[in-house]
Amino acid sequence: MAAIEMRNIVKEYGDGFKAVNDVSLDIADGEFMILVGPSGCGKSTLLRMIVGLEDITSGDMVIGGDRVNDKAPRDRNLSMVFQNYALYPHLTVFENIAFPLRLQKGIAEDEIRRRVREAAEMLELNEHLDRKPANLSGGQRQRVAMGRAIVRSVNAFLFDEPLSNLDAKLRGQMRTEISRMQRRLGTTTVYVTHDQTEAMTLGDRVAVLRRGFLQQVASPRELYEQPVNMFVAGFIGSPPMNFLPAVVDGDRLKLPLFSVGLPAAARGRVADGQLLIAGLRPDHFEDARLLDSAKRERGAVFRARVDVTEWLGDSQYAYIPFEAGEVTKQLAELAAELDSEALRTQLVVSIDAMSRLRENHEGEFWADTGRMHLFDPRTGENLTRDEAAAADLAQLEQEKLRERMGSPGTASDEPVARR
Amino acid sequence: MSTSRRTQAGWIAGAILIIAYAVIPVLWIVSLSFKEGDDITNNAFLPTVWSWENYRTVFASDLFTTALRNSVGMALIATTISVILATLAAYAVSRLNFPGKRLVLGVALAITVFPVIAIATPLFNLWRSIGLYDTWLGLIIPYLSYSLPLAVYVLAAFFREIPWEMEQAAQVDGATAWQAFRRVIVPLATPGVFTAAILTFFAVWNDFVFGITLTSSEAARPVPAALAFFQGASQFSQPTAPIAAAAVVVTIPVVVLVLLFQRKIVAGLTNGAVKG
Amino acid sequence: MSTVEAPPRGPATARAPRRRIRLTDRARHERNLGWLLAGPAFIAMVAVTGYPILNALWLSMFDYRLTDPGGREFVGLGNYTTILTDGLFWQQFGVTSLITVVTVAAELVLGFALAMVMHRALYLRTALRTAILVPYGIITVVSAYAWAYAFSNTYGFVNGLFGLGEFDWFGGTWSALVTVCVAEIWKTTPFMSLLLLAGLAQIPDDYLEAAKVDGATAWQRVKRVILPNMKAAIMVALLFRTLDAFRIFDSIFIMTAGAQGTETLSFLAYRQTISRVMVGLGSAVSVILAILVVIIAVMFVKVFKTDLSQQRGER
Repeated sequence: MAAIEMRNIVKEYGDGFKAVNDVSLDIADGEFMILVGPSGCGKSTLLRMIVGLEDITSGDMVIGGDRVNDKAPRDRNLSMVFQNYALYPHLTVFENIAFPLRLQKGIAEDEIRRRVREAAEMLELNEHLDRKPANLSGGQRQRVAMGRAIVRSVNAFLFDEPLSNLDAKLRGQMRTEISRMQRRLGTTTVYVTHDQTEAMTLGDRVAVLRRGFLQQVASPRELYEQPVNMFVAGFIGSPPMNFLPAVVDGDRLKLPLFSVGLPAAARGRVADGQLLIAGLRPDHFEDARLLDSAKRERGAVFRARVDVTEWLGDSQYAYIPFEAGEVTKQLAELAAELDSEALRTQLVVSIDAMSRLRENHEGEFWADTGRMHLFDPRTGENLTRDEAAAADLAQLEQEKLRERMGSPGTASDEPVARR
Repeated sequence: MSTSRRTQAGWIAGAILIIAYAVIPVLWIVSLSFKEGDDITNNAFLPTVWSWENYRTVFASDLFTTALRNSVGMALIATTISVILATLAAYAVSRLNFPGKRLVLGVALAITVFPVIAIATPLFNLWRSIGLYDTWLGLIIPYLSYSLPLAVYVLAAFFREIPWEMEQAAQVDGATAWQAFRRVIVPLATPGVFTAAILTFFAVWNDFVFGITLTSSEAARPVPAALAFFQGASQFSQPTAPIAAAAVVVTIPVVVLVLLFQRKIVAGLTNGAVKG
Repeated sequence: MSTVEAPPRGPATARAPRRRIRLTDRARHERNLGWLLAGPAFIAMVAVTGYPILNALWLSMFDYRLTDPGGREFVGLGNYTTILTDGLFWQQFGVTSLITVVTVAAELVLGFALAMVMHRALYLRTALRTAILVPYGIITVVSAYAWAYAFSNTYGFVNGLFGLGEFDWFGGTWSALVTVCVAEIWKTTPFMSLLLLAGLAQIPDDYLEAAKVDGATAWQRVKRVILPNMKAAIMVALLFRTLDAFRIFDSIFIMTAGAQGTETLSFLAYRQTISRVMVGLGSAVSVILAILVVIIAVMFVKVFKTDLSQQRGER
């Protein structure tokens, strides 16, 4: 187990394209770090540079205090779970898991057997040890890949979108399984994903990348509540945050459907008449008729025609079209960058599943404008980020990690935890 | 796809037609090889009396048996060396990045395109001057260079189908590049190596041009060339039926290989040529 | 083989001095391994073909008979002039081209039909593929003998089958060429059909089902869906077969021995060098043949505008 430090890591390809640009990231010993971002953001490249499958153009990669830039993968003592598992088809499950041990000289056969059995037991693979990967289900293959990763004592586990080939239900189960395993072994873990849920639930901290640049590294909560910029705000959360044009009008802010008082945090940072972009998450809205008056007072109420509603049983979404005017192109660009397509500008609002709003009818909505963020349309910078609240959340995350690492239930030199 | 019974019957009829197309000429030469005496010139497909006489003749002939030995020996040696070299080269061109990779592929392609006869005649001159003319080695060397491109292409196609992650996983698991090649890639490529070996064997076994240009005696002459120089008991009777018998004998290995490895050969040919 | 692997072991060697060098350890190691693995095959290919090609170019500029080494004389492009102004050469060029065009065209049509049947027939599939491989695998000389004897008016059954009496197939240029073409087509159509089958198998059934739903007839499906999607496979198959057919030698040697004006360019090169030991002239013919083959290859690539290297999967 070891901490991983990255100092100004750059990956430049022969044609001058920089897949990873000046990334500095510290991953604490035992921490579960998520690398997330839209496709092509460099997250997989960064992971492959940690493990040594990709050369580092410049910068320092330090694992457990050693600079490993020039070391071959096999000298870095890391283990990795690949997206398609990369199980060796000609070897049995047992031999697949034993493979890394067999490559290390001088491990007795008894010892190999014991370690493989332990890993297999932990992953409930014991009955399948004699089978070939081709005869396993997707979930079982995934577990064999994890078995191969945990069988030896390594500095860190690396996961490259390990669950993306599983169906939704299995993905949920494996997600908790990975989380449990990491907590038990306490091994530093770097996990690449593009999945919202995995990013939010698994990691102690999440690093958001965009075109090779690191945007923000923070706990999932902080990313959601206090994003540093429009990109992070738009990327984290599903359905994504709504972006609306907002024009400063004295101490008021005019949005397409309603207007609100200019938030205190933005005062002094914006000029009268300036065009901003306001960000409101779908769950910052509610059907106004189902609200008590006290809550109603704290936000803005507006009437709008509902285009489409989606009722999901436990929740409900309503779609309200609006004109974005000047910022339409900008919003479309952002959407494209976030791997989605902006066909039309519309507000997605999450309303109570009990609400009887009907399509093509007007409804009355309430927006929790106190949680609204304002972004500079040119730089994308969040003008209303609450640094104090962010610091609080970071503190909380640190404590959680320290608490977990402070009481290890296992001996640290043992590769597989005993029960 | 749902296919109606009638169209399927049509396809079956077509299939039977094709099978007939493929085997009738072979059956004809087999039938001819069993003819004797007047049957040989009876202008009919089948003999009236089936006779082993011609087989006795060819196996009694030194010309044929030495040629058979030459063919089998040289084909096996050339195939073995060719496949080993091709496996290493195919791995390099399909997996590793090194300057000159395109040159290797280009040379291989150029050789498949270049007319054999255009190489054979200069080789004839060269071999005569350095003493390789009419020797096994003198044939094995050109066999090697002419079968290598095919073997490299077939194997490269197989290597490309092995996911990259296999080697990467092995490297992360602690393997050196050589260990990854030997312990992960070679076992996975075994079917491909096998297919390449069969196709290489066919190519070498089939050779005629080198066989007649680079030999002058029984010392190294392979069967196809020997067939062309085959003489009957007397100078004047054309040894038609014994030639047929000899032809059948050298066709047997081909048929056996085809029967055993039909699937592999088809896969190898189509992968190697279209994708590889 | 342990020499293949010489990476830095300890961190001490790996650290400081390497930083200035652009090429990382891994990349340089990969380079060395690449040439180490590809080298032997490369040498085997170049050594045996490179020298003879250059040697042929050199010798083609001499008036040189093996039986008269003393009379060797430099004639520059004289041999080429001799050949290209000789009517016989052009006749042989014509014969070679004719055989090439006829056999390749017939093989394409027949091969496509074969490929369709192999692709669609649900039964007899294994038997079909096994049978088709027999002509492919059989020695060309054997195939040539089989057909020569089949057409022979002394031994053959063909005349009896078609009631042609004592007709001598090998007595005239055209009929002799017919027998050669039949033998060639029989032997090489399977190869063509297997290449086409590979192309056919790559067309998803969805395309054909969509075309069916859109109202295409069977012929329209072949013409508008199957053929356009098989362009690459067809090109590769045509290229390989054309180059091969243009070099025809074995069948001619066995079936007609070049008699009755059936001599091809490969046969000419052979006869000049080996039989008549006119090494200079024979080398010139070889060089011309090689140039023609290259021209054909270049034309193919140009016509189809598909990069061959892309087809060959150099991604």
